[in-house]
Amino acid sequence: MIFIKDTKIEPESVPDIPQGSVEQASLAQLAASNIKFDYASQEQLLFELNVRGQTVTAAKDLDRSGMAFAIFRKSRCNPDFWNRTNEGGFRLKKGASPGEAITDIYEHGRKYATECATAMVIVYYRALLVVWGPETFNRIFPKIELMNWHHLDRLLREIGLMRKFPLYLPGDRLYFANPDVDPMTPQWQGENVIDLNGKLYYGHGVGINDADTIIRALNKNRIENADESAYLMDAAGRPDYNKLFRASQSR
Amino acid sequence: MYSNPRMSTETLEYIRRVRGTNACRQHFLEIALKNQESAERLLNSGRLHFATLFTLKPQITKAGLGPGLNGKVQAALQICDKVLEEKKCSPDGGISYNDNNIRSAFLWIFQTGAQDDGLSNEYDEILDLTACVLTRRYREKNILPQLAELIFRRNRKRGYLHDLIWAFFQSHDPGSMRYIAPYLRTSNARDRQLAHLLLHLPETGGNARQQENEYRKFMNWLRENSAYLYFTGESLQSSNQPEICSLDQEAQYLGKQISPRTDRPVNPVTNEEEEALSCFAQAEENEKAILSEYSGKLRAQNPALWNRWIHSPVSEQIRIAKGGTGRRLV
Repeated sequence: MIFIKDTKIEPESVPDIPQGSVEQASLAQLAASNIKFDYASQEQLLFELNVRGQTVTAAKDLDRSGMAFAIFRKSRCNPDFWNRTNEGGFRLKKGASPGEAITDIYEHGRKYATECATAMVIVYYRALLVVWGPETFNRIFPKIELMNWHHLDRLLREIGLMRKFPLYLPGDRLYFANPDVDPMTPQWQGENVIDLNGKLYYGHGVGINDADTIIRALNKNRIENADESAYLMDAAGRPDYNKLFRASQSR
Repeated sequence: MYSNPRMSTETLEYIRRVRGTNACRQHFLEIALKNQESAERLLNSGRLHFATLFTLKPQITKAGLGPGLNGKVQAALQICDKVLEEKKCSPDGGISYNDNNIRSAFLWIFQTGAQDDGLSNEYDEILDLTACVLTRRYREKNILPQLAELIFRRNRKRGYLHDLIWAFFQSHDPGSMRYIAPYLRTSNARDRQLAHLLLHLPETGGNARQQENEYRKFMNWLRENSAYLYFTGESLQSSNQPEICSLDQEAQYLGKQISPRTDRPVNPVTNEEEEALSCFAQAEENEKAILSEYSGKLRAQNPALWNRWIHSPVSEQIRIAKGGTGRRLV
């Protein structure tokens, strides 16, 4: 159930939601749930739906970008925009435009290689860049460091925090764990993914697939005599949409 | 003088440490080309460190050494090749993990190699994966103190440490947290921050005395509860605040040991315990925490009293645990 200022609203009453879109699907799920979802304004609701929609688009685009998979020790980035850190993360170069640097990953993906968690962070930055436009994006994120869930901007901290939710929606970041992974390939210990529509997931390195396919891929990289299958964890990393909305409103 | 075929392994180690890898390689190659047996004797010595073997790997290949090397050294070279393969298509392909030479080579690599962390990116990758194999595959707990030291040493260098951390907790030993806990009271703020993250404790700041108190409090908590701790599967790959090891409240409430790997009781739950758990399940979430903590303390202090308490109705248990009647027993 969706409430705006304590008034229950129906999905049909929300304007400008394209038919068949991620926004519409998310809205329908929120409205159909028994859980109460509170919003301070319609703009806030639309902002969340918009970011969710753009997150799904950004995930699909990153899958097509040509960015390779690499463990942190072998990560690479375009030195025109990023400095590679000792840990294998990418730190925005002094003087580089944050928006252009994120866009470069999508336009020159072959110059980049990283692992699955960092790819998720890139997806969220890209979604916010599209929703806000470069001016607001550059103002809000003057410094960026891409290194899985660490060194995250305080506005994005929640995407790195796994919590249980009563309902998972497109645009959420989920995690497939692989408890019996072969210790020679710890990069297969799990797969961070973006939920595209509740059935398909984007994971960097495994591409766009359903849950069974991702679990099969992880299970192929288990230790011999493994007795536990990989599984989708009942938790998600989800941006604090309210905080992001307020940040974009402030001057 | 260094290319003397009778040179000792200690001298070779000394050259590497003091004069650097190039000098070490040059002298070793001169010996190897003159007298293969002497070169192999240097490598077969029990005083050789992994860092020196790794440094000399190209020269070993160039001089065609191999058959005269002992099983452990050959296994160590094989492990290096496996780790540095561009694509590990078949993760265990080519490594016979049941071979004693392989196992002792992994152990030797870590125990003699950790002190030279930072030699090169490839070297550090071998150290990382060696730690993963030792803790996960061989359940080798003896390396945990050294592994904890390596994690924090690398943390100070701001190097990549997530695989080492993953390896550390793959031991699935709640007691291993005692090697992390001392860093709660270190003077290095970066190490304190990492220790809080790994132990899932909120950062409190404070002076040296408060940090010491926090350390002691954690160690007491660990001693009291290690039988009820389990590994959740969360890691730094999945979360920025992972709760890697968590307390099973039901187990603490019953005083029932669980498997730290599976979170299942080591011994079957009895009918009486089932009844107690159904009673526990009626409590609110915040009350469960109070009940389980109180149960643990009371059981340790007065088992007979605990036995009476746990058989009373849950409302009575909560009332006593909260101390609402003034009869709080602990």
